[in-house]
Amino acid sequence: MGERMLLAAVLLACVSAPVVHTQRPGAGGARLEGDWVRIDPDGVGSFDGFSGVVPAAQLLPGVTGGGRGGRGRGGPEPTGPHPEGVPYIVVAQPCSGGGGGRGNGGLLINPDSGGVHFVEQKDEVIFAGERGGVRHIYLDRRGHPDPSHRAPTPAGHSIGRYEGSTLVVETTGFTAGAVPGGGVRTPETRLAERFELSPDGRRLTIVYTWEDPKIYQKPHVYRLYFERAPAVKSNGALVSYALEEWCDAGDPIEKQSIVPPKQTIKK
Amino acid sequence: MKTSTRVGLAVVGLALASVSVAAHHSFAMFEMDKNVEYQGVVSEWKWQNPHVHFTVDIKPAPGIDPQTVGRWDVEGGSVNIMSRQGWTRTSYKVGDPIRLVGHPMKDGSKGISLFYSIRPDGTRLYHDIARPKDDVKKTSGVLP
Repeated sequence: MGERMLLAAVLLACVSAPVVHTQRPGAGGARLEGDWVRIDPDGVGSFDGFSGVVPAAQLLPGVTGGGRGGRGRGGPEPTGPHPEGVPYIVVAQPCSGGGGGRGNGGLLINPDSGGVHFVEQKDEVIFAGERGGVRHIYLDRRGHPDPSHRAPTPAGHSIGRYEGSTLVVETTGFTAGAVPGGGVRTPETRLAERFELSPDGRRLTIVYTWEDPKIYQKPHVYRLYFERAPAVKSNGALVSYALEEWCDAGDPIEKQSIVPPKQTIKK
Repeated sequence: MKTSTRVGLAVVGLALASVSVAAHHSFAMFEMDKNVEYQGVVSEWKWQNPHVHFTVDIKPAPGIDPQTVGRWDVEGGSVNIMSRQGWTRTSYKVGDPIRLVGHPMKDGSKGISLFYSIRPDGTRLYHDIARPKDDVKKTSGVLP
């Protein structure tokens, strides 16, 4: 009898013990997992237009901004007529671009519709860009590493948690660079991202908030919008083959753009 | 391997892996705010990464802007990006008539950044997700 009482007490203790909160991807129902592409719900009209929907960062006096460039801004301006048949070589490092989101819509996100892929696991979300690069968003309650033990990187160091189906991420430890909307960042700058899913799981809004009391008068906030990548039928299922592009820095054609053709048209 | 070496390699690896791609190249050489219509015949078709390219021959004709006459190199997006807008390897072939709207080069060279092509039925095939306000569409999630 005594043993039964003891067993019952142990079982009761187990059942009534405080529940250890674990991070569970997509606990609110919809899941971030899968392929996404950016959309243009505002009808901005061109790549340059995308920079226009990002509000201007309110910088402290004396802080030099990162410019308001759109897609790929910052390359050399053409001077004079360009010879026929000679390709434009427009950037020296096509695959590194601005590095870690500099001058574009956000980390691993381009101002064009280059896709992104999420893999959700219990302790980590892996966020991969279509043209290479990956971010690790840790959900295991770790903190950011001591800056003296870690070199800044273009993507920084990210930790996250779920609030329902919304993934909330904090990132710091960036290399110095530009931020959309004319902002800038340093290794001390903090970025908060909210990956907000629509109830049906088909739309994604990423809300970016850059904060740095040495740079911004107030948090610099903007949003980017996505939908699930278009699917194609394969063996009776709908799948996405979208996220397989890779930018090869060793390929000369990656640096090449327009080749003004020789003119053979006769009037 | 020493711990310090491992840590160093890890940091280097993370830095390399974290590098983002802003774009394949600058678009500063195009007048991105200027939309020009071109109408001609496809003379070369390259369905390739990082940018689809094709050339268009435009001959003088009634209704054709004389300033658009000549052979033009038209630059699109990557194969992935254009596929998601409905383009395929066979959307056009050499000899096909084509009507398109694009952003011309600032220096007057015969180059165009593609905005969209206009199909015979009047529908548009966009280069990418950017839309003019008069044609804001949301992707359906399934390729057309």
